[in-house]
Amino acid sequence: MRTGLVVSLIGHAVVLFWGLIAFPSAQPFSVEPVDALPVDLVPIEEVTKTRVGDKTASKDNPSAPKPADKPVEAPKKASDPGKKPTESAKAAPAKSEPKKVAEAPPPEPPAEPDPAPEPAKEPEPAPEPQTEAEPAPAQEEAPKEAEKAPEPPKPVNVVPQSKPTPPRRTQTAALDPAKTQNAREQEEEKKFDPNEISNLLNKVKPEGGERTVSEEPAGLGATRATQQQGLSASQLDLLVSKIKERWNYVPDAFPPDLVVVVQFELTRDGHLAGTPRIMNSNPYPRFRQIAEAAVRAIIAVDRSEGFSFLPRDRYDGNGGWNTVLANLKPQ
Amino acid sequence: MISEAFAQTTELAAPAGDISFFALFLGAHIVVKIVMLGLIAASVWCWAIIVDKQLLFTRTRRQMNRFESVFWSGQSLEDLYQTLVSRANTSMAALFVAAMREWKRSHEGKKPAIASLQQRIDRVMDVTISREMERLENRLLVLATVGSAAPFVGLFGTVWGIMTSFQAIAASKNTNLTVVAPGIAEALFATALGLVAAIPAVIAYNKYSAEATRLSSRMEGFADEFSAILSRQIDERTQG
Repeated sequence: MRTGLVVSLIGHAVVLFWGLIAFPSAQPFSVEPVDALPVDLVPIEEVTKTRVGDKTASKDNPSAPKPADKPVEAPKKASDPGKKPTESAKAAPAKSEPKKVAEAPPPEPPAEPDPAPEPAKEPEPAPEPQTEAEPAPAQEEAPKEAEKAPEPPKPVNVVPQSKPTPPRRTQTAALDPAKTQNAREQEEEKKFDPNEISNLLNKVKPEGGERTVSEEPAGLGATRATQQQGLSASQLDLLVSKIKERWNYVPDAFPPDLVVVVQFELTRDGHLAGTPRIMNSNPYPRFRQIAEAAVRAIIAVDRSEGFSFLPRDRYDGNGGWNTVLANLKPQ
Repeated sequence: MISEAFAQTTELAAPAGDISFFALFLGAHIVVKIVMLGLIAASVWCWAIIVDKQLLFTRTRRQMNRFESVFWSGQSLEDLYQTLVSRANTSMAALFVAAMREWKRSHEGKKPAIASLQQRIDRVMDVTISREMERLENRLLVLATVGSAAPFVGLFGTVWGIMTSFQAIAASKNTNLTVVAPGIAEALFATALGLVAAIPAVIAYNKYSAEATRLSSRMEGFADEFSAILSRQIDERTQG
């Protein structure tokens, strides 16, 4: 027995020693160093506030919205009554992709109406022969115009290739002078190219412009337009969460359809105007109690911090927060 | 800021610290340590038994072969007995010596007790066989016990280790894999040791118990043959 014990002890010692040498420590998995992942915080607004796009639009400007459906009266300029104020704004995309401009079809015959099936009734006029013959003065004219309206004129029918409807846009009037100044400088820096100039020329007879045109071509976007004004989903959530913070009620097994709809008006500086009104009712016996608690919660928010956390530029308009209709659901 | 935080996480995810066997053992809970030490001791003991049995069985088989060759060589049984009786005999030699001793004793003195000599010789040989078998099978039960119990003991160590490891996780309020992993590795080490002890024990137990059965049947065969020889002798003497 002693032999066996000695042999066994020696064997175990050898195995343990070999184990210490052969497996000194576990081999670490080769972990590839991961590069720092850049994270962008994307506001949900872009998702909840998409505007209608155009499926036939080019992919180069995918995020640009389709122009608004309703024409907006643009203020006529006494100094150039014939010019459409938006034409000038069109130069920007044309500049960024001059090739596309060059590919644009030649101007249509004079009698042919605008291919757009829009309520816009202006027929597409014939190209102006005069400007084609003399490109130089037209270019000279451009910076001059830019003083009041942004950019040098560009024919309207350059874009229809990719955008069948004549673009109109409400924001055109809001173009700030600084931007146009900048654009003009860029324009002046541009090389003189007669071919390009002829494309840029205004081939439309000046006439009374009524509509604004989008400064951006239509892009690929949602097929459904949502309202442009008003609070975004995240802002609405913030508002609702602030109210719910102060909403005190006795917890209960509430029916799943129990919602308290409260409407309240706000002043521009973010305070309650009047008393919040409960807009719905529910057979749930304690509905009244809970709804009044919600009203008190709104008043409490108004008293503590007010509603000035809402963006000021979203106050006005149909969907703005001058009137808030809050759907509050007890947990 | 974000990239910094991310870099920190990747650093944490890399395996940290010494995780050799020795470090695993040292880091284990005291109960797990005791279990591990017990299993190592069981393994040592098992291997001691295995080595011992291997030597014993080899020796026994060799002795049997040699004895049988000598026995069937036609040598006089009296001479064989004289050479063997002074030694410490095992297995077949022990059988032979025991039977011969009984034979000789029965023939000593004035009145030979031959009447039930055959039964006495058989009984003596049975006793010798059972004694020899006990010698051969001695400690084989240890192998059987270790073989069946060591995995459970190792499992107990593992369960205990994982239990304490989870308690540590709960205490540190951190579920990072680097917190969880060493404790579980430690705990699993106990099961590994249990299996290391049990597997050879089971194999050796099966091998040596089968071999002991074989040797036993060989001895019984010899005993029957020798008994037949002696029986013939007795009958010849009673008739003559």
